[in-house]
Amino acid sequence: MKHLLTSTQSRRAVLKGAAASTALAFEGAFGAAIAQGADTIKIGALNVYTKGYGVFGEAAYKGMMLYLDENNGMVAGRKVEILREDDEFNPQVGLQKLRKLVESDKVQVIMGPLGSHVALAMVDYLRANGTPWICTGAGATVLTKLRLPNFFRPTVSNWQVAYAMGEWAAKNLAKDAAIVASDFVTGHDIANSFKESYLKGGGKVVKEIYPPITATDFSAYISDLRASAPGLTYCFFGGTDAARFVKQFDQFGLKGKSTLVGFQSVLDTDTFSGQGKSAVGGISSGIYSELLDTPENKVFVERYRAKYKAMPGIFEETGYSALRCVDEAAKAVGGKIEDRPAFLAAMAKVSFVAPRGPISFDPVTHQAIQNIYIRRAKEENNQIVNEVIDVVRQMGDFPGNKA
Amino acid sequence: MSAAAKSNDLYKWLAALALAIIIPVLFAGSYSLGLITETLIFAIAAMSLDLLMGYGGLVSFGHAAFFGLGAYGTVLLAVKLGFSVWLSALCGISVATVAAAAIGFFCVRMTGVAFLMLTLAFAQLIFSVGVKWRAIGGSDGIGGLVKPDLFLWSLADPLTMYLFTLAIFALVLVAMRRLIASQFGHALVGIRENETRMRAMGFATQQIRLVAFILAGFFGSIGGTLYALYNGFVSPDALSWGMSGMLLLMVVLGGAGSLMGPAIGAGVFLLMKHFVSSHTQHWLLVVGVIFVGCVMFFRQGIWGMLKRQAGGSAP
Amino acid sequence: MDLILTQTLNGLVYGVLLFLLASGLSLIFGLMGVVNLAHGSFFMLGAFCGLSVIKLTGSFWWALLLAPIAVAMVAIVIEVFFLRPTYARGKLDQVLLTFGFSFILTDLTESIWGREMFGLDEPDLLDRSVEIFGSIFPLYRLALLGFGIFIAIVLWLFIEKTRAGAMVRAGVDDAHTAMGIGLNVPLLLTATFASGAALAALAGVVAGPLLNVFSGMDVEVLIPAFIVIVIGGMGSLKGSLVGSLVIGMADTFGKAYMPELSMFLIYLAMIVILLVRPHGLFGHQSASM
Repeated sequence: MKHLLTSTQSRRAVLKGAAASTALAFEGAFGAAIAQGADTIKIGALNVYTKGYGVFGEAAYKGMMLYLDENNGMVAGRKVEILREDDEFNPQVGLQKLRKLVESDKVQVIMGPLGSHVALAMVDYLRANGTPWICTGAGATVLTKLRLPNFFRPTVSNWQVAYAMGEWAAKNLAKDAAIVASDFVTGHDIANSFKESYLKGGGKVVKEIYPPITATDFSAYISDLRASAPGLTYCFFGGTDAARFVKQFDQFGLKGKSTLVGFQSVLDTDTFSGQGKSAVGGISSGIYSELLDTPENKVFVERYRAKYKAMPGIFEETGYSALRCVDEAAKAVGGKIEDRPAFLAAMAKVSFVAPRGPISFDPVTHQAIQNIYIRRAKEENNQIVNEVIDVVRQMGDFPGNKA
Repeated sequence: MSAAAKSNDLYKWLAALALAIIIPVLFAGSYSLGLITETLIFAIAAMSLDLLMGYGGLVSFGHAAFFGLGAYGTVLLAVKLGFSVWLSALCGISVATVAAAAIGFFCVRMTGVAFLMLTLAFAQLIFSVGVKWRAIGGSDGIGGLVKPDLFLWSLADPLTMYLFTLAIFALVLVAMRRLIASQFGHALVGIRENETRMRAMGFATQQIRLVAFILAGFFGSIGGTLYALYNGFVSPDALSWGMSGMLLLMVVLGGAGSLMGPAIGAGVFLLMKHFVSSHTQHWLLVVGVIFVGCVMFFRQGIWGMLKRQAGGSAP
Repeated sequence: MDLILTQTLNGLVYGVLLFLLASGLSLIFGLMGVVNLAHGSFFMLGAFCGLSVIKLTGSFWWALLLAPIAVAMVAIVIEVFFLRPTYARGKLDQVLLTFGFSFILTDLTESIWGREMFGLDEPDLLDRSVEIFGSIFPLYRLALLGFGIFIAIVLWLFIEKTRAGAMVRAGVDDAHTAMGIGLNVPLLLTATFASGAALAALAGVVAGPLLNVFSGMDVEVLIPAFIVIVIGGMGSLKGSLVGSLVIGMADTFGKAYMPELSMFLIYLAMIVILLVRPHGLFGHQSASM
């Protein structure tokens, strides 16, 4: 009960903050500078909140709000105001909104986005501008190669997750695989990382299919897949496509014949609702599972369920832990988040046990070093959940990124 | 128009120009400056569409093709082939203009809904290339354009970018106003009102429409090129029918057939997008309702309303 | 062989979906001259209404009946209060109006149902796969195929054999004559717009199990439906049917055998038809644009 109370209070505080910032934004447009309360930390949550991917942006936001609730809406003793902006999964819009957050709202930290293409469009601007950027979704392997001193990724790198699966799948599942991935940079990034490691583990790739992201229906590709009858099918799709693919994979009778293996977002809490029982038995690698049997995770899941009446998934945990990274670093510099060099140096040293397990940052690339879990979807109390069947401990960043 | 009225007009424009330069330079923070720059860029694109829509009576649902081609040409040549950015920009505009000539050759045979569908189809054709061709970035687009220097100043500086865009905007505005006041402009409007009569009077109506189409493409691609310079990257969204629809919205919002109207429409639309969308999830509803309202009750758009207000007090 | 057969079936299923959308779109244009850019929204709204009906009643079949009725009501409001006052102004105002409504309906859908993606399950009766000549195919898709044929026949009988259908035909041919011989044209227009919307909603419900239900599904089908009616011919039922099947097949085989080019070729076909036969393959001359 007490917990619920703080939750509404802090939400009200945020709402009040939002109203104040409306006034600020309009003032800003006409050039009048208004002195801001120096004690508030403003964080820009730039992410996709609409269209087919909106659920993931929302998930990260929910995780952040839960963390704030637990800490009375504060980070390092300072009130936090989260400003949400929707990038519409469109790099042009993302850049517009980024400028607004940085130049008009004067946020101290940017968190987000989900889309790697949006993130890549943001790189030049944030490199020049220097605002600390905590990535909560975009997994493009190359992002940590770009060496932005102000960029940290306390979440997945595509390479980490897909590479961990490759060798494991070759050893434990089957020696021949088909790869199906959406035809855009992320799809190829993930497919290549998996392939490299799968071949290394002694597997053979018999077919590769790259459907366009505009594909409405996957039946044509699935029919094509069945003709080559691989022992396992490794797939990556984003948003609504992931749900459709998994469902149709089942409907066309492939599920019994070829093991469905996927990237973390293909089989996760947010997609299970659209996939239903078709997802059961699907194996995926990911940085988190809601069934992790650790004290940190149990507390997290319990609180998350109390607040939102649903199970958390990868992006909820990411939002939660990413904000904790900011909190830890801010505490280390005594709350002086405006001292960028000190804050960034403190970020690089952040290390703690998150619900997902121990995380720390690669000192060179700023990629999170973390466990990768091999998960199997199962049905439990009329709910689909991911049980952990194996762990690849403390995966680092893609070696090529450090060169 | 009397000479006195004409010089009076000139003073008004000079005053507007002076305000346009002084106010942002003195008062605006860099964000507002960026926002105004963006408004000017889209104002150019919306005005170019207005040439077709307002004056030619041809509603295009594919104007993004030229906007996007200008942007793509600029980024691709500079980033992939290492051309100087200014040369790339000129090439981008040229490519888009040539494309406008080729596409226009077919489209101007139609009017009304057929024209709308045909422009949509051509734009989607180009969009499909932008999305599928991985060598030019595919659906992720392409970035890394280094902002060039303009004499002593770098376009990376928001103020330089703004002043540069303002200069181009002023040039485009003057050029388009002259065009519309010219014999060509009158002929275009005449064709919109009654094509049969114009043809009977000896006007080559299809050719005139084609010229309008090419010019619209040319000016539209200038907007696209500026957009690429401003953002430093381009993605297929710049070619999409969503972009075409957005330009259409701006024109209708501001009032078709007035040039200044679409420019104002662009400003109002972007302001709404930036401020309404930050504070309510229902920004689409706001846009939709205003748009429907404009079509139903204020066919002359915001500019038409302003003019009517002003017209009431002055003769 | 196995592959070609399944691909063909897939192409036909996609064709049926397109037909349900395009037939309404085509009639609305043929009779009313309205290019309805909100047609995708009706499709989406239908799917979401279906979702709610299933949640309430637990029955897919009720959704099939009630969702189109609900969407038809929305369409009637739009036609009577917004489109009707603008008919005198020419065709373009209605394009713009329906474009505006597509924004409004998207926002309303998101406000009512949210931005998540929802699964819409097929009826239990059809939730299984069957073997045809050695390949496995979901029974629901086969049923959808049959349903499409059924709807096509019903529509054909309606237009060719009933008095109301005769009015529609007369209206497509020449609205002025139709008015002259005493048809109640405003009522006819409202009924056409509502039925077109209902068909789109029906498409939304039956597409749910294939595509899932989410905000944004409207955009995915709108352009393909337009390609269909451009190719088949505005105002022609036969054209919508043939066009849907052609595009359904071309899309399915194109994706499988030349994924890089299929989109490009379909738009190219659309352009060629628009230029060579502006009234489409089966369109009535007078119903051309």
